[in-house]
Amino acid sequence: MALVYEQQDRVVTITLNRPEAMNAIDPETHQRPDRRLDAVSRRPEAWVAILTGAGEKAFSRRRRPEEDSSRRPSGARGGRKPQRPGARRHHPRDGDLKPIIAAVNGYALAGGLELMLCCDIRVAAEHAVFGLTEVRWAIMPGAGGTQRLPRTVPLAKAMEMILMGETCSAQEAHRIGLVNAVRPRAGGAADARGDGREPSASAVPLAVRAAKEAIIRDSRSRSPTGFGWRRSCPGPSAAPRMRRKAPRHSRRSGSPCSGRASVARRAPLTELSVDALRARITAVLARGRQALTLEGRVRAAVLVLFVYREALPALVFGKKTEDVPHHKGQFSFPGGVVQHSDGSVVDAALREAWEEIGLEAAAVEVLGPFDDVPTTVTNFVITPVLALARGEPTFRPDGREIERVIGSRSSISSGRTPSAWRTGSERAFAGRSSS
Amino acid sequence: MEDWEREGVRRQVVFVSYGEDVVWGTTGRILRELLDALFPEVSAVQGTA
Repeated sequence: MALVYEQQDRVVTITLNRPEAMNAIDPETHQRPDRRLDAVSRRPEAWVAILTGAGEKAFSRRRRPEEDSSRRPSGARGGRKPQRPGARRHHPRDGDLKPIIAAVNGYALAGGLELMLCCDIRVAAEHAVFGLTEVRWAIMPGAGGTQRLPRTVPLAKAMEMILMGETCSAQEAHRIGLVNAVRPRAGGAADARGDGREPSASAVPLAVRAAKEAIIRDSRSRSPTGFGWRRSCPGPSAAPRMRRKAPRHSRRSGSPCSGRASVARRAPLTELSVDALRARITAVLARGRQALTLEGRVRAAVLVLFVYREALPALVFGKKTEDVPHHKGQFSFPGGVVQHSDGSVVDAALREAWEEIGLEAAAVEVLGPFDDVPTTVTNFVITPVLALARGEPTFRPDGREIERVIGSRSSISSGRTPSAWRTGSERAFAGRSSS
Repeated sequence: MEDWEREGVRRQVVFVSYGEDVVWGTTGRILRELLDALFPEVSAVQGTA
């Protein structure tokens, strides 16, 4: 079994069990650590998870190129590009509010270190070696490695490790704060694992979760730009292409990622059925919404419309013309001030959608109002009205206020990041006004 | 996310890249909060700058 899930008392141990391959996560198992951690999140009897590798040689390392190529038959086209381990977890702790401890019992290289960086606490055996060594294979680190490492260790050290492909010892890793503790090799992973103690009896799980969520929210509020930018860059399978094209890229932009758009177009898309999306929205709305009192402000409503094109969801925006007094050329949800003649914010959102983009109310399945959003300067309280389009509606931008209607096939993805936010090629329906 | 000051009011402004364009301001904020709520398991605003 390539992945072993064990629970003892309240501690779950997830072991990458491919010691013959330095516990590299193979194509067959590349999503399973995430799924296993999801399982930990769901089980109330599990308080803490320990992620480790089998044997004493390695925690985990990146797949070899031949393993990458084995994911898809030679010459085959299409299909989904498998994720790298941790790729889904650009903010892995967002959904995992229980402590995750990495017990690093040997090499943690490339994907192995990226996986470790996804964990909250890291304990290393004394012979462990750490590195983001992807540049040695003419690729750049993925799965958040280029973001998390600089946030974890001093920038100069992160630069050295990433740009030079340098490795560091467990002792050095401890000194720079990459790991919390170093344990003797005797017993190897077992010793490291032994440090993955269960939260004390006084550490109430809910308090631990709340504390972790507070940390996550704080870190999320800092700019995560690099995650999105990195995701638009070539992955491991692009290594031969990056080697071949590196000089040309350098001439053009000096960046190995200058070809990102063409790669991002091939980014895997997770289909989210309309029923699944409706269920998610309904669940969110069922929690109750944040309704603000006006307190002198003006009530406005916008229609946040999900449309399905080719089985993929997209959000609909109108691009304002250059003729409007404010927000020229900007993207916005159709909407405006709630008028006295409007019976509700829903009516106002539908009316505005009709006026601005020619969307008929009959083509809209309204799901309900979402949290109010106040504007501080213009003094509005805006209510987003969430809705699904029935079928594939026609949009007719008015040409005065809205120049065109746009959407993105993959702006929404289930359990994955909306990669297409960075790919202009993903615009699915850019119908310009005929006026 | 950027801190902007306008008419003496300091506030955070969300920017979300959309192809070559940017969704920002209140629309970006609504988008971010919605995607955060719908997909808590992922960072819903990878394009936040």
